Amino acid sequence: MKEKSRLEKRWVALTLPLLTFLLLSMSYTVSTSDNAEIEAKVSLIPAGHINCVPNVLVAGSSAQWIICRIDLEGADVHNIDVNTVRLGRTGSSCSIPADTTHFIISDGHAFARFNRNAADIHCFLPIPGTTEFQLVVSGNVGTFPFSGKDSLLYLKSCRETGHVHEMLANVSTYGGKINTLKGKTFDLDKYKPRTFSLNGFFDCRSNNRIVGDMKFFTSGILLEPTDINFLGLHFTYNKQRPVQISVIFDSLDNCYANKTPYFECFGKGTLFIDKEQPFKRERIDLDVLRVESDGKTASIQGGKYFNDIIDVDNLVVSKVTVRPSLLKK
Amino acid sequence: MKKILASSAGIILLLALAPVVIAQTPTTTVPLQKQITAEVDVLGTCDVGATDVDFGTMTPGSTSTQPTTVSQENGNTDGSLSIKGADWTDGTHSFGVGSTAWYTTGLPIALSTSFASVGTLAYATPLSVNLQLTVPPHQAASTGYTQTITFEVTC
Repeated sequence: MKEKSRLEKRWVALTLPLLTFLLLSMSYTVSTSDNAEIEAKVSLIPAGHINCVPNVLVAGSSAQWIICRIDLEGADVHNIDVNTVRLGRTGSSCSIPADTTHFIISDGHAFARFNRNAADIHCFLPIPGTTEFQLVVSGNVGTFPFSGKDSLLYLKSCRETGHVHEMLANVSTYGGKINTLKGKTFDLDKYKPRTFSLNGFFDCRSNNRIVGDMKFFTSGILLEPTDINFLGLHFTYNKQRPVQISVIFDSLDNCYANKTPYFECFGKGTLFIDKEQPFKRERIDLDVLRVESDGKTASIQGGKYFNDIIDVDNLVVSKVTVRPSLLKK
Repeated sequence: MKKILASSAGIILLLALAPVVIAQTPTTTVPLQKQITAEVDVLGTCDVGATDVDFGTMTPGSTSTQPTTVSQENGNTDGSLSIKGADWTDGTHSFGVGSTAWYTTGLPIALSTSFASVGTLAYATPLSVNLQLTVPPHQAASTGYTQTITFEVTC
C-alpha cells in the first residue's frame, strides 16, 4: 500500500511539470481569429434593348414613322407606361413622345412608333451631311426608369458622295427561315416551303424619292388534315395543298444601299397567301414592310407594327448589284 | 578588589553606552544599485474590419467594381485573411453569391459560401480588396439588393 502511494507521488511529481510546460507552450501557439461582416448593396433598374428601324433615314424620304422594338431585362414590358415612352438622341435634349394609339406588346416585345417629322424638327435636322445619331428610347416600367440606345445613320441626300443607290437583288433559291407568317387560314407549322426568292430594284431620285419594286416569294405545300368517309369508314389524312406566298412593296418610302453591299428598304406592302386546289387568296395589308440585306443573307419583316405578320431571315441572296444612280438633269 | 570592581563597572558602562555612541557617530552613505530585468511576453493578436460597399445603380447583365478597405484596428501581428459571402437578396428576389468576385491583384475569383484565402493582412497596412459584381441577365429590378460578405483573419 505504501509502495503504491509512493509510486503515485512519483508519477505526479514527474508529470506535473510536464503538463505545466505543455500548457504554457500551448498558450503561446494557440491561434486567434476575428471576423467582420460588411454589407454590399446595389439597386437594379431594367436594362433596355432597343432596335429601331429604319437603320438609315434619308432626309425628305416618305418614311412617316421611326419604329422601335423595346426589350427589357429585369422588368415586364407589359408594365411599361406608354405615356412616359420618349425618343431622343444623345447630345440633345429633344424628346418625342411615342404614339400612344399604336403601342403594341407582342411575344414579349414592346413596339413603339415615333413621328418622323417631329423627330426631324426637334432631333435631327438640319444636318451638314451624313450624320450618325445615337437614338435613345426611354420610359418608365413600374417604378423604374429604363432606356436603351440604337444608332441611326441620317443622310442629307440619298445621292451624297460615296453612296450609291441602286440595287438589284436576284432570286435566292435556298436558305430562308420563316419565323412568323400569320394568316387567317394559314398554319405555319403545317407549311413546307420548297422555294424562296427575293428580287427587285430601287433607285434614288434627285428629290430623294425612291422608285422601284421589290418582291419576296415562297412556294410550298400546306399539309391540311382532310376527313373522308369511304364505305362508312372514317379516314383523316394530310392533303398536300400547293401554296404560293408573296410579299410585295406597295411603296418604297426609304431605301439605302452601299457598296458593302448592304441595302435596306422600308415602306408599306401587301401579303398574299394563295392556296391552290381550290384556289383561295388571302390578302393582308402590311403597314410596315422592311427588307434588309448584307449582300449574303436577307431578312424580311412586315406587319401592322413591325414583324408581327411576317418575319423571314437567313434568306441566301446572290448577285446583289449596287451602282451609282444615273444623274438626271 | 575595589579597583577590579570599579574597572569592571567602567567596562560594562562603556559597553553599554557604545551603541549609543556609535549610533550618534555621523555615517557615510554608500549607494547600492541593483539591476533587474523585467520580462513580459506580449501575445500576438489580430482583428479585422472592413468598409461597406455600394455598387450604386446597375442594370441586369452589367458589371461594376468597387473596393473595400480591409484593415486591423487593434491587432499587433499579421494575419491570414479569408473571405466568404451569401446570396444577394432583396427579400423577394435573389441571385447567386458567385455573382460577386473578389481580387487584390490578378484575376477575379468568384465569391462562395465557404471561406477562401485572400492573403496576408498586415497589422499596420490596410488591404484593398476589389469586389466585382456582375448582375445576371434578366434579374428582376429592385432598389434593395444586399449581400453579406464576411472577412475572417487568423493569426
